[in-house]
Amino acid sequence: MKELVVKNDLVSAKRPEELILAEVEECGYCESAAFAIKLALEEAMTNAVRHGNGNDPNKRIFVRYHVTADRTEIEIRDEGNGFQVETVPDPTEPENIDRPNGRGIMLMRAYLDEVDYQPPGNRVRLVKLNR
Amino acid sequence: MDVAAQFTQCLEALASEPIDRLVVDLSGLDFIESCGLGGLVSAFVRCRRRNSQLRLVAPRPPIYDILRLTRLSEILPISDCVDSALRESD
Repeated sequence: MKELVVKNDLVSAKRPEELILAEVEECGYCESAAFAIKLALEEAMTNAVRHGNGNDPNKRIFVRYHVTADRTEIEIRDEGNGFQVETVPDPTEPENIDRPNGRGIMLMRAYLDEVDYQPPGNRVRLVKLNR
Repeated sequence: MDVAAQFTQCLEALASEPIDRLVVDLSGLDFIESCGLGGLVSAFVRCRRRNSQLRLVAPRPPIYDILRLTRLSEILPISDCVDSALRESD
């Protein structure tokens, strides 16, 4: 696994995405798989910056990743207190549908093969298969 | 400011104007994530409060898939082209 540590801001949080997507392209992933990985990285890194680390510029985000021709695995950890993913409301329910926030985790789950939040909820493991 | 925040700010400002209809042409958009979707929802809510309409135009298949998965396609009207969006009613 390759490892990166980035500052807790949305500009720095783009760097892992650039590096991982460059490897994904080198490995010849199909367009839909590359789109899914980009979407998941945007969601997970934004969550880490804003919700996990609470926009605190003194905190960092730790990223580990491994890209092969068949599979991309990414682990993202922030320095926050974590959360219980089961408590996040379903954004597709009628009472939540017109809320502006809360669709990131649902999208990651829809587009990836595995999304695992590990206790205490400040670390997420993402897997996308290239098929 | 990130792109999604600019997008949201712009849509919210337009949705707050005294207009009958806000047409958002998505035909050139090749990526959107939850913050961008939030901008569309926020503008939709503002339009609804002001009794105006928000209509989306021609999202590409990957964008439409996201609107469908999130079920936003059920509340955000979608037209094939800008001309249709200007004519059609909710």
